Amino acid sequence: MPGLLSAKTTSNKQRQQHDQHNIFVVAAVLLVMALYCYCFTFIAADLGAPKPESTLASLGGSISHVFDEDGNVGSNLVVSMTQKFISNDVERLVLFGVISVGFLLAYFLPLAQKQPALVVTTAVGIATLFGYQALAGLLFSHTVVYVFLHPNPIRYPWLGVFSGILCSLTLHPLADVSATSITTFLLPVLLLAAAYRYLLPKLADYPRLAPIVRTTVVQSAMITVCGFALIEGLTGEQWKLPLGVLMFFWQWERIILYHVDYKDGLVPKTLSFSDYLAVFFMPACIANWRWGVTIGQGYHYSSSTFLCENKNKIVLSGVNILLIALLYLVFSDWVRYGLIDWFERAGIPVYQASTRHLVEAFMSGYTISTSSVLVTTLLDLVRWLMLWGSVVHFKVGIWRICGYRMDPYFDKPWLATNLVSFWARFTFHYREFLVRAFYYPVFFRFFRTKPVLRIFAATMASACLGNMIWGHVSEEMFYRGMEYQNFGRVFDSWFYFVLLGLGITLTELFLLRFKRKRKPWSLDRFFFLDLLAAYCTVQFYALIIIFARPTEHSSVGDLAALFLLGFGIRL
Amino acid sequence: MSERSDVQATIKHYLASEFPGQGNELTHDTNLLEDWFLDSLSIIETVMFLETKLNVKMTRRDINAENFESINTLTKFVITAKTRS
Repeated sequence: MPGLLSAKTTSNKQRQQHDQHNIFVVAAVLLVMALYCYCFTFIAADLGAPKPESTLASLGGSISHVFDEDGNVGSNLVVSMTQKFISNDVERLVLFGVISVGFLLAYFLPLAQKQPALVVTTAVGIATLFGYQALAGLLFSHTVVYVFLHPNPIRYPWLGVFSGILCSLTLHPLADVSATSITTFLLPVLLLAAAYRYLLPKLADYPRLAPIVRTTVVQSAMITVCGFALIEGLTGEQWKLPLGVLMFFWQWERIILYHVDYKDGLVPKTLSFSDYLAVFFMPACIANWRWGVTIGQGYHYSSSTFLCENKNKIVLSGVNILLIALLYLVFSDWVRYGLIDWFERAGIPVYQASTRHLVEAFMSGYTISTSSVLVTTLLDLVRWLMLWGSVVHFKVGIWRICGYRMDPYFDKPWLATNLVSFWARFTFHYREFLVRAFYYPVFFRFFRTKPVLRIFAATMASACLGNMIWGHVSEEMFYRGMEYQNFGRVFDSWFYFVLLGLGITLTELFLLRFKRKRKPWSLDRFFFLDLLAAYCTVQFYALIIIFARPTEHSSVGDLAALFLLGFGIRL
Repeated sequence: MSERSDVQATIKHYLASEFPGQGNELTHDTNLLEDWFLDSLSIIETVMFLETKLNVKMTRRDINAENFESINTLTKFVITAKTRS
């Protein structure tokens, strides 16, 4: 039963015992990586082997919506935010290469060198795929967080100069050897080196100021994007973040979890820079950089899950989940279009299985039936679940083959019989982020003697407020740029967050009031009720997404009318 | 009975009555996380029970796998927490 609990710590002695080699396990991982290369890159054509589509055809099979025009499998697994390569296939080939090298190093190197090797492999992969400036920006940002959380100029006298060089490389790398260029490059180096050497140690003299500064640094992503978006709103001038800094910001929720661990005393104060980077530099992060950014959580979770049991068992569980991800990646569009065809033939318009299209049709004055609302929203959720499940399964699989016993991010959400369970199964690591960053602080501080109010406040703080502001506003800014109007994009869907928060709160209170006497999906006479509860849960979540897909001219009232249509109520 | 046995019995009675019929026998060493709690909400319920019935003041740091692993570890935590406060 994963969730809501910090994992048990694992000692280095235990890790040594778990670090046994098995050549068959290595072969299994490399085989799966080869399969990924075969399906999603040009490697078959380059080697003169039949392409995946030809192979299927030679076996007498034919399947729609799976293959690209080039005969490979079309994939949602991408290296986003890079313009360095002309084709996604080449980027994916580099990605799979980086992952394979990372796996081999993490598998065979001695214990002390495994995590540093993963950091270096990831850094090389980032430099190759995104460019050295992006790597410099990412490293610079992490260096700043590290020096504020673990200041130790005596142990790392070079870190100030190092972060200065990284800062210069990020903002204005040496274009030539002119005096101006050299001065511009050296200025941040000197300033940061001096600040690191002389100012940082002084911070310890101000015990009240130090935590505020640390929190400011940890929350820098939110402060920066909101600040610049407001400036854009006032002046019309838009600022663009360097790619490396943006990539750092995407890891922001994991940094917040790291900070929660830090405040809870779960991170050693003398943690080495390399061990710090091991939390954030993983080959698993590279694919779809913006997705599933909370996987790995903070320091304590990732450190506790590293080689916490037999290495080969963890790696094989990674192989297993990578194969499941492959099934999702290959067949999701086939399933989706098959369902669309089936319902259209049955006479139920499903608007390309898109809730947004459904809302647009409703706003254009089309008459829409209850069955159309129910099926369209459900199919849209199915589309998203398969897309989401494929990528986060892939990421979790990579963490696992690198030795981390990572809980699945996505665990058969269609088996959830209530909204609390659905939320945990749909987006486990993100749920953990919300719980640890918002639920617990409220739960343990307010209304301790009033259970109902206590749960209501904690749930609304996490599922509604935390989810909307810290989860979605920042994401919108990262995706679309630091523009004032992006606040509006999220705030326009405020009712979705309110309904989600209320739904989860009411579920929690119901479960507290009416005790569960049996495990869901037990094969008994209540099995049918499990089926019904699972459908209602998924359908409710699918329906409230209507409020998260407003059009330019829709009001909350319009969306509510469409939502109620899903319950057969026509206003 | 010693304080330890009292706490152990109270926790066991609570877990057996609030989350019954899990298909396993509930002993002091039963792994609660693997074999007894139904979901994460069970942990929150247990926290509220420990706070209200056993007068333990808990913080978020106390919610970890070490404390919640079994009745024995929970008992140890409760006794330590009472001493702490």
